[in-house]
Amino acid sequence: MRHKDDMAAILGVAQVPMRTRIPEMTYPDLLATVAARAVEDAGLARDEIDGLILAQAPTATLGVDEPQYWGIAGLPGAHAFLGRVHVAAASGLSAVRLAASYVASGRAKHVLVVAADLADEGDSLRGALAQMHDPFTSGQAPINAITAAALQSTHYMATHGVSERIFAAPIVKNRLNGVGNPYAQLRKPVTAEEVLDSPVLSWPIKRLESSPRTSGAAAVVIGKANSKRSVRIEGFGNFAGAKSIGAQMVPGWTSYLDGSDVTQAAQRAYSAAGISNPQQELDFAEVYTSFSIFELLSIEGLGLCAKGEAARRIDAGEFHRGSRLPVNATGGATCGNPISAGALVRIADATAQLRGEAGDCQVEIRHGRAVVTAIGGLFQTHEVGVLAI
Amino acid sequence: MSGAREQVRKDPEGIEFVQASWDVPQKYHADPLLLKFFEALKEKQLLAARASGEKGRVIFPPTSFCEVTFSAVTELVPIGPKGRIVTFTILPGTTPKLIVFVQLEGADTASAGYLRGVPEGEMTSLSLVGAPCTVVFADEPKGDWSDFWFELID
Repeated sequence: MRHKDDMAAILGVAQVPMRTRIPEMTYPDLLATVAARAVEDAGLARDEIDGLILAQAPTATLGVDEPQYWGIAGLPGAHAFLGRVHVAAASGLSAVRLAASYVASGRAKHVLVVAADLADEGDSLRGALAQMHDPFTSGQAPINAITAAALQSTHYMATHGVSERIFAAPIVKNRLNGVGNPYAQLRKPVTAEEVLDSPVLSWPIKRLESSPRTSGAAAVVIGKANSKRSVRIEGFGNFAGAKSIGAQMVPGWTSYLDGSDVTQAAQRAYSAAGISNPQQELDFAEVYTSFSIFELLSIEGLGLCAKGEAARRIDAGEFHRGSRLPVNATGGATCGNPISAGALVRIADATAQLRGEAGDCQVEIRHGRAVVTAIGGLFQTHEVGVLAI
Repeated sequence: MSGAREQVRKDPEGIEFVQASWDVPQKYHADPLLLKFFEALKEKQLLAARASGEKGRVIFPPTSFCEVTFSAVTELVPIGPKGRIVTFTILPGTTPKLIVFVQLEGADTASAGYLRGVPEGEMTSLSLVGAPCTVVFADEPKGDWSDFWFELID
């Protein structure tokens, strides 16, 4: 393993309260606000930042073509190098992985990663998301983020012989966790019956299983550890597997439906971090839950429980905030999901937890280690990072 | 970007928005094998692409490049019409619609489409997963995805 001092670390983080709309700020205002706070949190001056990476989801949802040109003016690090990572909701973690490479290789000292979304300014995500895939082969049926997750959900039910009721478990847990998170967009708890009785979007997925539309922003500063608050990045793993569901899969359809793509990414990250037993070596997990099925597949893919058991374990009290290995202790994407910035929010939340600065959402830190995941596209790009303090 | 238009609309909270829209016409060109596939649909035939070599998987819908063997693909082979349902979802509405993901006989890949003929009360049955089905063609195929769908068989 590498020496601790050689690893890239998270030096500073910032986010803004997530809301449906943030009418008092423009896209560049949001970027500049979180950038300034993250640099301050890192204990650095802005001229010490020598690289900038923007994380972006489909930019059509922002209504701005090539928004980095509108957004970067005056941002720290933009004068040195500018990067852009554009793998949908995985962008934040992908960008941090690249920033860490720059720092670890010595090509940059401090790289700022920043993302923002203004979700209320567009009419609907549907048109933009429909443009993400092969216009010929995706025309065979209306396959989009919701129907693709629904196809996974049905496959999970059939494989494990369970009913659609299990999909309420992660949502009830996350919504309860969101009550204590001042950054969460949704801060009211819901019951399993409310989730199951909410309108069907694409069976078996109900409206309350899905993330809300969210405006928000977050920023992370990556560099070599410079204080006791620095959070080391012990390992990354990424895996880009299936093409869009609806067209042919690469290499096959099983990895898309059974979550084994997450396992691939997790094994790479664990291997880099020297983790052999994640259930015993991690304090908590922040996973991407834009739909309930993603959390179940992620918990299982990360090796935190056996396949098919995640919902039952949640119902039995595991993975809750007060449990031995909490998952999404701040409510996760269930309680707010700015798509570009979402993975950076997960990192900001995980960093706050490891530092012991998570307030009402604080979990017990025993090992000083956590895992963060992000998923982009229709379950296509997977990013896993292991963080430690 | 052509066609951007601007106007200010009233908001219930008094916030002023500028409304703008994108109008970006695009002419996509199709994979040449996919064009042959669309042509064959008019003859009520399903064509898939077969990659060369030992790992020569059969790709449906066809593509001119195999991303497993990293080789160009030129051969088309007939597949189906029978297959098995891998998973499904139901689009709600006054007439709920079943979208299925089917692996056709002879294909190494699976693909989406509509399953017709299932009574509304039986749509949520998990026994649909793994169930055998067949491709059914429209009476007068036009050479696009609407030419065929799936129905259950015994």
